[in-house]
Amino acid sequence: MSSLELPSELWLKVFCDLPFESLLNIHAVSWLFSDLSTNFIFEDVHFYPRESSIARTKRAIQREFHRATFWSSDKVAPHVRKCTVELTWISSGSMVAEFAPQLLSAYFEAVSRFKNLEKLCCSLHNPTNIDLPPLRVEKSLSRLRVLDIRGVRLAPQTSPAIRLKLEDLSYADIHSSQSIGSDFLLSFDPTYLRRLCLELQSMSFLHDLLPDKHAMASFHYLHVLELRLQVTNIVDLHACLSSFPGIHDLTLQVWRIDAGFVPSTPLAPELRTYKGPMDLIPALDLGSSVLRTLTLTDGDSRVLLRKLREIRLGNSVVTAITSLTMLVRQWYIPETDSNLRDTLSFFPALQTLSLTMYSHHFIDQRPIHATFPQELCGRLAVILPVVHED
Amino acid sequence: MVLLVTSDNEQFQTEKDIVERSVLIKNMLEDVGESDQPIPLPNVSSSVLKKVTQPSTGPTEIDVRGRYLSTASTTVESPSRPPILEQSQDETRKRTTDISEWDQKFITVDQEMLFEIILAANYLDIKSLLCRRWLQDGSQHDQGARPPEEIRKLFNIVNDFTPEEEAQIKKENEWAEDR
Repeated sequence: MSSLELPSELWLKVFCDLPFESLLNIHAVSWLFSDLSTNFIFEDVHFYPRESSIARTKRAIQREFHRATFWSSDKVAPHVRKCTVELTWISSGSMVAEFAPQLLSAYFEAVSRFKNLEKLCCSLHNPTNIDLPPLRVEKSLSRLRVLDIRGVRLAPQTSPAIRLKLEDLSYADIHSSQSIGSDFLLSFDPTYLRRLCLELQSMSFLHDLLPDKHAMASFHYLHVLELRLQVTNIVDLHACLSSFPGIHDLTLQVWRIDAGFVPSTPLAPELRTYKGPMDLIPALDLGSSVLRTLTLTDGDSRVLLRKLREIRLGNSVVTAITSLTMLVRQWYIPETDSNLRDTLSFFPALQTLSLTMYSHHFIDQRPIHATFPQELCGRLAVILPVVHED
Repeated sequence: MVLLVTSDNEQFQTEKDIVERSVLIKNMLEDVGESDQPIPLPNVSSSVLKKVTQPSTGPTEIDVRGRYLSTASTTVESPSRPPILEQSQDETRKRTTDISEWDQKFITVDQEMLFEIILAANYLDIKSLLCRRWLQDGSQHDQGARPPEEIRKLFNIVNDFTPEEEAQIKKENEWAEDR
């Protein structure tokens, strides 16, 4: 019996978990093994100017163009399923800076030929603001599901009929303060998008999303939303989130939330998990039966207690929340006792409590809170009910 | 104990925790619950099942790490369990032994049996058995991946590349390595 008598599927099973080094050797065994192993060998590619000693020479840059050509070839390109493009720290006057636009075009050209690409990450750090080409994601990438771009402009679709079938989109425009455009969402097929992570410098980017509320409302399956903003207010956030009907999981990183009017309807009624600042608590429906996990990234038990007392809860307790994460300011530990006990009394269903102690105070370069956890643990033992098992 | 019946109607009494390394048998046992009913394995012959399940007293020919050219001492798993079912690297129970005798035994594995074991492993859904290590380990101790020539010998594969094609594959591997 020869190896040809074993079915190819079986060889694929054997090969699928092999380390990369072994796969390269399998690739060199015979035509059959070569064909079977190409899917694994060319599955993943990383485009970036290599940081070797010759990285800044013309020859090294030339090799990058050859690299892009190799991966674009008909034999290799269809096997690529994951791709990363990185062009970071393009310092002015360097060889990379000189060739950056052409190099990026060559990389993006290769990407456009990866017709089975499922995941694409692009990251540019371009402090010198060289004019770089935008990323075009056209219909050739019909299998693309995860797109993570940072510092890269996403070119508008040339045809409005083409909608990207992305399940997971992270879009961080870290250099530009331009708006993302009101047609941003129209580039994506609403039946696919599950997770959206947006980070924009533009102060008004929530307003950019708002004009097309009809488009937003069609994103029924968008369950996870992460927003990184500079400054916002509850009204804007509320308007933005209320248009996405399916949000289960909200993460908010914001420099400042301006105080103001709190709308009467709750923000994201289907919310199950919230991670973000306490300022949004008045807008959350803490009495909701689905909100289970609360992760607070600022304030401390004193502030939380004040917020909880300010809002009027239906049954005066938060019945559904089972997991709470919050900060404890070590400075207030002497007071933690009563604050924490009173705060926790709002959460009778709590099963998991995570406390992160923080301090900005240092003595001899060492954070002074290093000695405090024990004290806190001692206090917690008094505060928290101890469950005895018979 | 679990009663297994092979394609040639032989019966095997085997310890439950050993046979449960096979996802297929584990699922079957879960489906039938506590029962003395024999489990039929119509795709596995008795000779293959013996290799797969029999606890051995020493390294057997199917307990191959693929170091068949090596004569150096190396670490192998304790032989108290059927080595073929070992979870390889995850196992902590190890002992040191001279593998030269074991190597000789390995060389005697005929091609047919090797493929039957792979087929049985696939049917029984035993991941650790899919001979990955034979392809993974080089002939020299700690040498890394097994070179193509050794893989050809192991599976009796003819090198059907022309020298030009071989050079081309080498080039492709260079790009792939520097991906």
